[in-house]
Amino acid sequence: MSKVIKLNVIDRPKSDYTGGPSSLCPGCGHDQISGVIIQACWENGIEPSRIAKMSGIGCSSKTPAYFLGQSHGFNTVHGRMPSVTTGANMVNKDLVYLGVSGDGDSASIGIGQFIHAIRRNLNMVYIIENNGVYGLTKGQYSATVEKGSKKRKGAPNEQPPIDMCKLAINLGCGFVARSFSGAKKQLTSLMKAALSHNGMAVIDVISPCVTFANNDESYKSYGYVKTQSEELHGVDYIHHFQPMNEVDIPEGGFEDVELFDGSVLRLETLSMEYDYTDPTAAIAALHKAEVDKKHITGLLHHNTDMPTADEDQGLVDTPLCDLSEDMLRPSKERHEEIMAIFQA
Amino acid sequence: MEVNLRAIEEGRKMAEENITWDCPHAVEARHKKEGTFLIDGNEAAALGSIYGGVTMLSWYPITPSSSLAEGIIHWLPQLRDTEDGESTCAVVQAEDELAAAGMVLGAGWAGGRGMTCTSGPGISLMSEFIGLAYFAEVPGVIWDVNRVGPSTGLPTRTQQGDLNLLREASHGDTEHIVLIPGTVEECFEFGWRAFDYAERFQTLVFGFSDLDLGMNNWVCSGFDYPDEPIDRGKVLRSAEQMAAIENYGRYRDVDGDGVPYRTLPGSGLDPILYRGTGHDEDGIYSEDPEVYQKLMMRLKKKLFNARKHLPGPVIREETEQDVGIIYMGSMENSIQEIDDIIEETGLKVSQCRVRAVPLHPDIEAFIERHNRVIVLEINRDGQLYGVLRKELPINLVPKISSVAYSDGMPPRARIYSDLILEVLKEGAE
Repeated sequence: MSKVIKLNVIDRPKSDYTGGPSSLCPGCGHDQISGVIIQACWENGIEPSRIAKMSGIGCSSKTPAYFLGQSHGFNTVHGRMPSVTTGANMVNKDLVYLGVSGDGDSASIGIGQFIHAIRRNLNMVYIIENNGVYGLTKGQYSATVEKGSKKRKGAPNEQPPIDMCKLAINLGCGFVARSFSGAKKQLTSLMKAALSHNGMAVIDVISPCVTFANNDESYKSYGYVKTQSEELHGVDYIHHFQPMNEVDIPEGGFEDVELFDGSVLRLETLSMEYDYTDPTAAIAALHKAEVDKKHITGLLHHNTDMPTADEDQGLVDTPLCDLSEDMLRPSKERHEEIMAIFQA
Repeated sequence: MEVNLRAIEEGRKMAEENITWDCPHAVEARHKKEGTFLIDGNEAAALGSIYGGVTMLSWYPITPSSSLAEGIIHWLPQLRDTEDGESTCAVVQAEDELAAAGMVLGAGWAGGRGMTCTSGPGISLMSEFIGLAYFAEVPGVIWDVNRVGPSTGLPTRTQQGDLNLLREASHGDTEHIVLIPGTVEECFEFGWRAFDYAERFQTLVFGFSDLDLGMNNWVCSGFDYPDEPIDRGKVLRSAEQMAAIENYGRYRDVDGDGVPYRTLPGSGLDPILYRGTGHDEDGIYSEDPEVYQKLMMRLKKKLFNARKHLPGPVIREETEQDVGIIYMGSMENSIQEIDDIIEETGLKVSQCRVRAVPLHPDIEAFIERHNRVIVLEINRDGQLYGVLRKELPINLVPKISSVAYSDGMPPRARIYSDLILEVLKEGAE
């Protein structure tokens, strides 16, 4: 009996979405996230060649070698992934841009580019693999580490953290979520929803560093996150190609977030009321979580008010990288007209 | 407006009545020459870039280059929009020069024609990305409209002080193609050619102008329409093209000219992860000593081969080959006056204007033919002289002498001719 290979909606096996072997430490949260990226892209049925993998420098930024081996990618320089993605997006708006960054890459050296990519509403998924330490340089604190958190070696951190979700929401980002690398179901749903969003989608994923900060005093360790985090809601992603009448209706309350490509993110009410449309409520919830030394996870904020960076340009329908010479260079006749105007 | 006009009138009246000054200069109106017009180098380069098919302009305002970007923004709707008013070139005002350079790389990586324009301080900031473009072989165009350095320097004055910076920007062994226009016509021509060179050689190409050429108006009789079709370089766009190449690899020197073939994101052909880390001929991460050394030597070969394809020098040569002057860029506007002053002493002067680095082979031949060669430039250290010393065969080096002077002002012929005569006198003694 031959083995049945499961295919996605565009008839591709999951193996079309995998990458090379990881060289990260065994147990690294980042590898779990790579697995989720593979799963989400496969289940959403995105043609691998249509995806562009973008990254900066750091442990997280190495991971594009470990997923989507059939997609082009660019492992750029430290903290500069957003600008390279912007340039690429301007000349080829039809690709799905999947950016992978870390807390060092995005919250310190790259914070300016992070902010401005959000301000422009660059059409991309921006994943922050957030462990609170610089792994490649052997465990220095990063700017997202919580006050009072302590890595395996050295003194506790005394400085307040930069909360990338809070920052993104303040800047008007249309899709902001927080998850945990170990929460596979939640993260996969949020990842798929981010891929279905038109515009900047930021997912901050707490991703424990098993080598330098997985001790219980570290707020981003497996042990801490498992006991000290709270889900804002249950999340379930419903594909646009999936008939709605085949989807089970939850027993409790729920809310459907309509996404750009027709898919739906179903938010199921758990213990608390949470309004994902209200940015001030999100900021307040994040602030309270910080005071309580807890993590809140789920879809923090969603809005679709802003045009994307490429829509804002009023470009021709054809991606600019595919324009033919007659579109790229004024004609000789037009040139002579212009010269005549100058010479008059 | 009315108040201003009255002030002019009042001023003139006061000068007429009160000033008795024996001025040696007089101002006369000149008749406009039929078919000519005034234009500055930045607008000319802007028009050239539009003819070169720029599809992504990123920029961060800086004197004296802002008007180049604004020139592109001004002319795009008239020259490049479709009939329906849709744009064929994205324009992004970046948050800083680092981001502007990153966008150029992103555009080039994705198969577009990306450019930015800046001045020396911007090039310093962009240097990290410039090295990435060199190493990962990503095409792009950056214009440097030189102002006076170092540091913030004299931001509204002119200099040719960035040549060294452009030639070798970024850490490690790097080198870059630099196009050096000397006239507004060349600003236009190099504006479009820069993109062809960038895609042909899969590297960054600099346009190197300066404040004097870029922001002052110069007489122009029109721009020649590009005499060559757009060159997109070695891009594989179909499976058939890919199949025709035996043992394809992104960084494999298939043709022996140092320039590999590339594929574009979205094509599904040979998807690789571009990287600034060491890589083998297939683009896979490598720290193998042989792989690294071979890659660096191929990059060197690629740029060496490029030199004969770049704009050659403009040579005005005497039959008596006493003195040759090698110069570049906006010095073009003063060279004849300098030449005339020196020729008053009885010496015959030939001129050779460098228009690109790496240096064209004709420059070496020019030096060989002349007894003495002066390298003339608007900076303190003789940067073009340094490039020549590095790139010329060692036996020719003693023939060249440096005359470098910079005070922020456009060149005044007498200062440079006096310095040249001094150097020639020293050499004769």
